[in-house]
Amino acid sequence: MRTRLWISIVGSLIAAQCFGVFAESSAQTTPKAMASEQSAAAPEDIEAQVNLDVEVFQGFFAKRFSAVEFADYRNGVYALDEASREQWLEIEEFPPYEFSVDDGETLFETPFANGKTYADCFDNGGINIRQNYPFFDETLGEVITLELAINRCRESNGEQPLGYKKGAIASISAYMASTSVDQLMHPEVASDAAFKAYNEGKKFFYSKRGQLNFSCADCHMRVSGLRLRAEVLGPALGQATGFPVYRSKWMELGTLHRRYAGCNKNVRALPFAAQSTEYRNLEYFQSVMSRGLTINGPSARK
Amino acid sequence: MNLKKYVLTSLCATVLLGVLPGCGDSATDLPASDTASAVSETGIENTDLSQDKSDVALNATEIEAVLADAQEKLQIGSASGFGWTTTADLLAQAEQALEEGELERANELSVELSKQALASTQQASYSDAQWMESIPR
Amino acid sequence: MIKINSSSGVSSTGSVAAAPMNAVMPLFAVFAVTLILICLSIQPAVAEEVALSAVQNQGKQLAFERSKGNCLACHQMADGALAGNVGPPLLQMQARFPDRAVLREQIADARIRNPGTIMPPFEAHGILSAEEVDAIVEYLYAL
Ligand code: HEC
Ligand code: HEC
Repeated sequence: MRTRLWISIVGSLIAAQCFGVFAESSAQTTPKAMASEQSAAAPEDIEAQVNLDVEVFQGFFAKRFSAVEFADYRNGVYALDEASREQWLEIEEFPPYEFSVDDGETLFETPFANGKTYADCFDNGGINIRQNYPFFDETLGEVITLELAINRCRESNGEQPLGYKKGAIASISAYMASTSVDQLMHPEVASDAAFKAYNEGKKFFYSKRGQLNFSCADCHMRVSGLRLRAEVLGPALGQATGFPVYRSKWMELGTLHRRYAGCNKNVRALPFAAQSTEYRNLEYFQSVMSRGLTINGPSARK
Repeated sequence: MNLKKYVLTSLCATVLLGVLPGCGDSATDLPASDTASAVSETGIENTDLSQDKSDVALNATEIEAVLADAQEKLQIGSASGFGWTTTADLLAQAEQALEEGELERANELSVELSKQALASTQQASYSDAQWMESIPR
Repeated sequence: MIKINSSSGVSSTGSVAAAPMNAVMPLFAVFAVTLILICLSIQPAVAEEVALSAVQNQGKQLAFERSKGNCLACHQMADGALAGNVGPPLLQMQARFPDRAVLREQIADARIRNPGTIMPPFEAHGILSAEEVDAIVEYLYAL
């Protein structure tokens, strides 16, 4: 009698153990479309619309991950993935990008053939200014990213432009970011033309692309924090603050646009050129969404 | 409690395990395979000439026309920023097969290319009009 | 893992009802542990034992392969390693999809059932051929 009782207890334990494996479920909800004004508007209206976008965007993450502090979003996926965060913190103790930052400093200080240096092209001699990029240049009518500014500086001094994805430009960008750590990112959208660029970036971010049919928001918002195979999907909030990054997979530094191209190719979409108008507008939109976060580039990533 | 009882209990438990769903094998009665009768919604099989190659002779000029049409659609897709990484290879393969006179293969590839080219232009217009569907609440 | 507050998030795993272990009967505790171990060791063995037909085996390969279905990226499936959790676990497909056409359509073009889905439209976008989708359907019915 007692034996039978035990068998049934053990049996239910086993059953519970077996079912436990399958108890996980995730109901996918269909998001309702949000109204979005795209027409040209007065500066106050533009500001109001952009502020509303930021509020909704950041509010989404605040609600989805209520335990994550806002400031922590600059750490990308490690703000969500406690398991890999530990390992990441250890890596950041002896950062793998240290040598590249030193290289970047040397390159930054080495004069061009004409005797001028990068410092002559930038405000404040190029120190502590990373947070001012990207911005919308009202005269040129386009988004200026830090890497674009670096190459335009070279060209205006008679030097060849650098490749945009890795190498020297990533090192220089990393050095410039390292002098700006903890500075607040707060890009403005102050004109019709700026609003147009912003809206193009926004549309890019939410558009489904590639044979696999994904938008950036599909992975980095709707299912952020969940796993694709073993990889946790990081939040879109803060995606522009930590670059350039040293990725273990790359075994070197890479720029934000290199990563954009990677994410496009992963869904089998043809990528755009680094520093193309499309990617610059996307970076602009992402940076506006990350308003209020601080710079912490360069950083280490898996 | 002696050894005999232990063995008996273990036996009972093993029998029990056998009937536990989740642990046991609930999929022994597999459905009969009816792949052959499966209906495809795409209509691709209608153009799959492997079935009726005996009565329709493949025509290189027709395949070239299909390829030209696909390329036109591909242009639209990539011009609007919605090109796929899969199509360039398909196109190259189709052209090579055509060159080598492997009409059946060339035809298959060009049909697949047309399908993807069309899907990418549809994606482009969907995204143009309904990108905001991806904004989560 | 940080807690996700969203209806699209994954709920925590089912809890195991704890049965109090009576210290007077250590032997039964041994039984319990033994049986759980047996169960754990039998599970993979059982999965191996399921005799898959040739087409089901092909479907399984297509479902697991990264460059093909890669369903494991999002779905937990039988003995598939390193499964993601973006979509629901795929199990008891016969009971849950008695209509073969409905299951097939979910894979061929998930947008038909849910226009906002993030599951790729496998056949509609040419990721898988019609025959490949059929093979995967056969495999799913073995789950
Ligand atoms: C299929 C899912 C998927 C899609 C779609 C996708 N990404 Fe990613 N992305 C990932 C994964 C996985 C990682 C690595 C983990 C992480 O950092 O989120 C990543 C990383 C990134 C990173 C690096 C973040 C960091 O802090 O290092 C950026 C930036 C990024 N993605 C931007 C984008 C943009 C912009 C798009 C749209 C063009 C996009 N992604 C589309 C899956 C995706
Ligand atoms: C990018 C993630 C992703 C991939 C890859 C994916 N799915 Fe899905 N799948 C989902 C989501 C999310 C759902 C939930 C319903 C919906 O949104 O369509 C789903 C639902 C399903 C369902 C319905 C389940 C139910 O209980 O209603 C089936 C069946 C299914 N998927 C099969 C597959 C197969 C087979 C593959 C591989 C060929 C696959 N999926 C690949 C994300 C994915």
